[in-house]
Amino acid sequence: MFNTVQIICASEKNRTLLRGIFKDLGADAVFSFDLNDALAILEKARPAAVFIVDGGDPPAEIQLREIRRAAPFIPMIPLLKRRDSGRAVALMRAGAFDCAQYPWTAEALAPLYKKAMNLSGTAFELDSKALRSKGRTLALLLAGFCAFAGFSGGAYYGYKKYTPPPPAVKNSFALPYSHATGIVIKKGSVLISDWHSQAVYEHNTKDFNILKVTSLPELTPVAMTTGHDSLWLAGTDGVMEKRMLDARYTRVSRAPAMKPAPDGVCFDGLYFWTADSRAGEIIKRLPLEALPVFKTYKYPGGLIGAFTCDTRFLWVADPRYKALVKLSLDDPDTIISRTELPAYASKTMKITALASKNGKLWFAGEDKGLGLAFFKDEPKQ
Amino acid sequence: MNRNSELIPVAITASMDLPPFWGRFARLSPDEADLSSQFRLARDGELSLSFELAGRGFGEIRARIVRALRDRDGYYNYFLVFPDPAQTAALRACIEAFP
Repeated sequence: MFNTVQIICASEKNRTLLRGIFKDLGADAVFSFDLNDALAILEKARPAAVFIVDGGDPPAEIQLREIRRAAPFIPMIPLLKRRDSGRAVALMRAGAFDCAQYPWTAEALAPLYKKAMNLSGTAFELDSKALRSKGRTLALLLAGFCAFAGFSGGAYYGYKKYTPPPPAVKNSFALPYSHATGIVIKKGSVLISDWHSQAVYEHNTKDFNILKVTSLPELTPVAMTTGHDSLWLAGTDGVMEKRMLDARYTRVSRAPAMKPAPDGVCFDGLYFWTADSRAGEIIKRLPLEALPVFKTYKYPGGLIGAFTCDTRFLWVADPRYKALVKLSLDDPDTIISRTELPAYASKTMKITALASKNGKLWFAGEDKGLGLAFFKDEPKQ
Repeated sequence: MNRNSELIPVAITASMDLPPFWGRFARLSPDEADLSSQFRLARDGELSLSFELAGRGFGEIRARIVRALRDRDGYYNYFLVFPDPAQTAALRACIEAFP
């Protein structure tokens, strides 16, 4: 069958994980415990590609060599247990088509699975510019003639009719990562935390070019906010860390783990607020070292997708209402207004981070696996 | 145009704070290259590339992304230029001597 893939994996836990992933990809997965098992059924299964879990016995290099001997043209893809470019390049030199990085997800493995069917070699050129210039000369001559003819006619209309429109303000930006968890607006830049790469990205506000990436290997950030010239990051373990807004976001203190771990956090200038989307709770906390609970409120809307606050309101991006929900800081049990969010017109849109600053609301999330950030003016109601 | 027997693997450093990515050259000339990778890189970004060509190791070759396209399989195809003349000359010498 065209969609059959063979997977060499000794661990039962990994087999269960991979079985689910390849089922999601629409592949028919045939599992082998080890290399001998794989070679024994290779001819019978006739897979379109072989995936090898790295770290097994014998090493992946030997498995690649032996499978290549039996099936010289089959694409082989080692599944790495961590992101290691040196290991990936070494395995690709040893015959692997490409390598998958950990964590293995359907989203990450889909391109590898799809691409595994097409193979060719690197093409070399010595004078690519010279070769292209011949074609360019003819194209430029043709373009010049057309431009002259078009200009004489167009100039007349251009003078009378057209005035150049003002440049459109861009309010949506693609992100090179797709697991945003928090967004903080600074003067001239925007900070976004990403749990998958365990990093905080600083973007230029105007064009969203990346100014800085700070890796946080000891923390998986699930929420982020700012307050009193410091950065607050919540981890998967429910621990909230206070960090300085310096070049490395140096840690200042850690609050004891909150249970359940919050997935939204903000500071209204006086109190800290955390949100738990699973329980649908918004918790007001005192700004003391342990951030003790002051009061817990039940979220009156549909579902908390992303959460933030400013000095006046609490804001929630609600995927069930497909709207931006505004709540009062004094009485979060009541919805003040809900404003439809056009971004939710896409069924795959997930807004996962929200911030409010100077009358603008900033959103970050992902749509069809691609990260994006955008802003809109605060609703008038 | 000459062609290698395989797509050359490349280690890609996009930021000093993140572990490197990887990909393969689909086309390589002394001034520019087409790079195919499963990873999404920042457009207009500066990269540092390490790879082996005809048995010779090239490390920290500076490259700039001019254009990025995602194909229907989900792979990213980057059109790169090499801005460093000294590195370009070394690549040219190696490709000229390529069998």
